[in-house]
Amino acid sequence: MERAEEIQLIARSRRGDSTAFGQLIDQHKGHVLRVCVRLLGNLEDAKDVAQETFLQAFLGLERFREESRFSTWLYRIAVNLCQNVLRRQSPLVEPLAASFRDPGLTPEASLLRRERGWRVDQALQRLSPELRVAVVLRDVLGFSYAEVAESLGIPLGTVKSRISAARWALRRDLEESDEL
Amino acid sequence: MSCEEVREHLSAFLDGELDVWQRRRVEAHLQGCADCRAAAVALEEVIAALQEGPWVPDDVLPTETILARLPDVARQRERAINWIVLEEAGAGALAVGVVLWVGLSLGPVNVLFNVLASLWSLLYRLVLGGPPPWTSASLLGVGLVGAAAVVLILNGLLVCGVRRR
Repeated sequence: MERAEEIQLIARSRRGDSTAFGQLIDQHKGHVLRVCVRLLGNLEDAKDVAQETFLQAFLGLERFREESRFSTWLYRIAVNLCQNVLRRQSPLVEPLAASFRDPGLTPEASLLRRERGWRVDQALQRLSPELRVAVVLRDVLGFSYAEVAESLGIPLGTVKSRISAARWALRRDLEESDEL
Repeated sequence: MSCEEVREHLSAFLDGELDVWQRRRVEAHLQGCADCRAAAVALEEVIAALQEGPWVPDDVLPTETILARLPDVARQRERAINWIVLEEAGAGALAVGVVLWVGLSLGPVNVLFNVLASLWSLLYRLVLGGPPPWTSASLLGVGLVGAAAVVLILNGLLVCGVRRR
């Protein structure tokens, strides 16, 4: 979607145009769902949080500044909501996320990817929420370290050490399960 | 740079988040250390695995389901704003009442009030003849209520303006 088109859709949504907001949802819900699944480890919670993300975004559209990216703003809402859920959640939830087949892949490739995805999800759930959020913002959403620092309100040095610690922990975990 | 130091910086190195000086030192170490090069490859695999998935089909969350909840959510917000306006306007009116009450018990404001009350009495006698129906106390009451009403309206308008911006 072109930037100008997105800004136009945001302006129409601010005036209460639900068709325009529906187009914004269509554009971004896949990524928002992915982030929620990665952070929460199960599809049911991820769906609820993704839905809540869009409702909060709709209510807070006046606060959105056009100089920043709409997707980044949306992900921040999603991550904050996920963090609230993580505070209430039991430490380990059985991941359900990888139970789908991507129609673009062969059955074998899809199976391989599903298994790997499932193991990565499990390994992610074993990380502390602090490490998990940092590494998901960086590797799933592609945030820069400065953006991660800004989103989480932590210093750049802490971002660097959390991402590094998370990746090494995931590496050890996946090595133990002979995944990679 | 030791292997331990390199491993510490490896993650940021792969992300291009090291400064030039640190990056050169890590690069120099990697050129001569097969173990650290293998560690870099291992970390790259973890990053790739994280970036790859999960694949979730869009239809698990229909857009219509979200849109169907928008009117309820908008109504909730409207109600919340109305309460905020009422609360803030009430607090503003109370504050003005207290200020006026305290002010009237002090010298300069009391004098001003007496002057205004005398002017009101004089004007009434000149125009309509006879004593004015309102005493000083009732004039004070009317003044307070009027001031509170003005503040309430102004405050309400201000809060609405701020919330809608």
